[in-house]
Amino acid sequence: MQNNRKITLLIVGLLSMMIIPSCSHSKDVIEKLGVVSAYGFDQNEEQVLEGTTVLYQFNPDITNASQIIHSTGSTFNMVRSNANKKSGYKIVNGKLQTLLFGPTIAKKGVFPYLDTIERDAAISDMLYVTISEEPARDILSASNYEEAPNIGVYLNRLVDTAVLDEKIVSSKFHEFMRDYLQVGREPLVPIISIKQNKAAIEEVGIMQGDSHVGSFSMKEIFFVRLLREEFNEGRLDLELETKPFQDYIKEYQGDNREDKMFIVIDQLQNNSKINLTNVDHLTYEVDVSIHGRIVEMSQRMNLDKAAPLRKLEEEIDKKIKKNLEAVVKKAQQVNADVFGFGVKYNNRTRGEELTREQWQDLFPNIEVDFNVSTEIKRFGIVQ
Amino acid sequence: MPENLNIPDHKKLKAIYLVIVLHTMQIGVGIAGHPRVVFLESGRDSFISILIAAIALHIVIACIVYVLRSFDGQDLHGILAQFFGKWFGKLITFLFIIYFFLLFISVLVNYIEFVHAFIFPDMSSWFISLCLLSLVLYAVLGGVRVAVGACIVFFFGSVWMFGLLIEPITYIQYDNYLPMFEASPRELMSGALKTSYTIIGFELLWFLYPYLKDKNKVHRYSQLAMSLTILSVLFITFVSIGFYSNNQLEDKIWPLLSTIKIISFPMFERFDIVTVALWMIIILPNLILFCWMTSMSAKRVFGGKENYYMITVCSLAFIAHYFFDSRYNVNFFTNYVGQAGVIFGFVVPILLVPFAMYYRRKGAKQHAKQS
Repeated sequence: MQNNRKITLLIVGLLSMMIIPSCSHSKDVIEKLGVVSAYGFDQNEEQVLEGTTVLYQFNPDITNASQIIHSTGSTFNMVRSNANKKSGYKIVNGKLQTLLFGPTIAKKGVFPYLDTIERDAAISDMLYVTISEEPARDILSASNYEEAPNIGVYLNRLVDTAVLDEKIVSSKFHEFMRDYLQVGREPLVPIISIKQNKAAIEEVGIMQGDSHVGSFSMKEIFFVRLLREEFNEGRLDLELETKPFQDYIKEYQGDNREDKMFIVIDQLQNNSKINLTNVDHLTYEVDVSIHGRIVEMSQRMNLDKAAPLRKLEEEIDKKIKKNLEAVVKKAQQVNADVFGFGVKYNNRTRGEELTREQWQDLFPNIEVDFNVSTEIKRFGIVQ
Repeated sequence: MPENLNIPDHKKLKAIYLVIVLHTMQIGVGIAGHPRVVFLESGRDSFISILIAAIALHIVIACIVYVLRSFDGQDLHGILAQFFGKWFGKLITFLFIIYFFLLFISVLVNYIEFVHAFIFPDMSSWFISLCLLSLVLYAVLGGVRVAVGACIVFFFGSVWMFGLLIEPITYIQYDNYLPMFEASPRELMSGALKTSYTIIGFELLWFLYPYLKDKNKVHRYSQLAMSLTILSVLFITFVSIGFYSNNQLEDKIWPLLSTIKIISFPMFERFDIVTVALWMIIILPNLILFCWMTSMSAKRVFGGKENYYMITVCSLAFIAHYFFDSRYNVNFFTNYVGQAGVIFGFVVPILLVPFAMYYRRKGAKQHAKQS
């Protein structure tokens, strides 16, 4: 049919028009590009931005395809073009995966340097925003980065693994900006530190707006995450008193029993609900229900029976509640609502939008009550 | 009856094509920026604004079909000539021609903006418009059946893109939808007005009607197409509001395209680039059918060959897009075209209803006299 042929030709024309224009960019040959995988930013005494650019090349002839360039400038793009003065490759941002801000910038506020990342469509929204307590320059010059092509890729893998493992709260650029621009929920970013010439995540930074004001340890961040997000297969290790279980603990080891026991719960799933019970006095009630299975206990008891199992769940509840109260208190001390209590408050007050200043006045005085209920669903193949 | 259209039966189309053709005609460049534009007006209650626009849309479609049914196989120009006489009818159709031409340009320049912002900042506008216009010209010269056929093929070529929103949906924060019902009626109405640019395009029905075979099913299928569009718009707005926090959504010029920015596959690091390239599939039916509508109406007003008008439209558009080479101009222009859309798309059909009622009654009387 005449018409069908015309439509077919139209599709062929369309496809070629989608493909042919890309050939016009023959100047961006991949062998001539320096592809940035990470930027590190510090600020010196004269308020000038000191950038560390980690890039790699796709040239098959070179063995060490990664290099680090230091340059200065007053803006993100100046740093990049100054870095380009020291490299024969055209530096492009398309595969930027990690941004690392040193303490000088992290304390003051990172937002001014993030504008171009949001504005420039070429840069991905899925890069990780991270900070460090040592200068970014030092972190990025760590020489041990496993089998990754360079330190930038390694940092990305490091954070990505921790996020997928549900160890930390994800701080992808999109999520960072979402929380930064949301009144009543502050972002959290991983703090990269250097241990034996190797970068690692040791803590998670609490941001007040865009500036770093405090840190949660990796143990604490579990409880923060419990309130913020849902676990799919989380892992929790707790230290419990042995005393309440006196009657149940099997006497395998004789009398040298310790007064602390450790348990590890994995496949942990949770459902947390923040309820604002009193708008005027700002009292919150948080219901946290957790279920999971026990994979390790340092003292053995018969979990097949109801009484010890219930007792164990009860003790876990108490412990988790104590930890949750501690993390909320810590956040209140630095006045950064990383849990999103402010969002709940704003949702309940109709008509007027909460401002950042208002919530900073209110947040330190909120009262939070926790109802934790744990359910041990399974406990392995021994009783 | 002046200037009756006699379309031979073998050139006619089935009415069921309306579902896809009207839908693809409505979805175009507007939808990429729509969530923000409505959000700026009515905030989290954008849904209500869209639903208000939806009700208006369904009523307008009912009006159009009512007016079209009062006549036997006339298009907009034929009807206007019937009501207002030859010359005044021509004048109104001429306004419609200008309106369609402006819509044609607005789709073109907005798409060029996408390409500049997302893929090739240094590609010259004339090259992009040359590519697009040559395709449009090729399709439209093939006649209305090729234009409609292309719409249907391109619809199935682009509808899978809704699947791209699955990953953004996993990032949705349900707190972003609360508190609801905060916007004032005034804000809701202006949100509904802003929705109009996204959902115009249904004017095609005025011109496609004479080409349809089973005319008794036209109403059913065109209403179905409208529901399809509204559902898509609601879905995209729902995802955008949940995906971005409120202040963030106000900053994004094209929330839909920015949402797709987070998608990455092992073989496609950045899927938004593919999406913007494929957006061509979404806008081509718009361009093809706007071009057809413009040149069709021009032929009816001025006489002459349709093909010449098609070439004229494309060449004029090629020249005209030079005046819209900055974001400010494009936004300014699009804004005004959207406002014109409210008048030409929504108000005119409702104004024509009383005339059609009068005409029907007169026709019935004459019929009674004759018998």
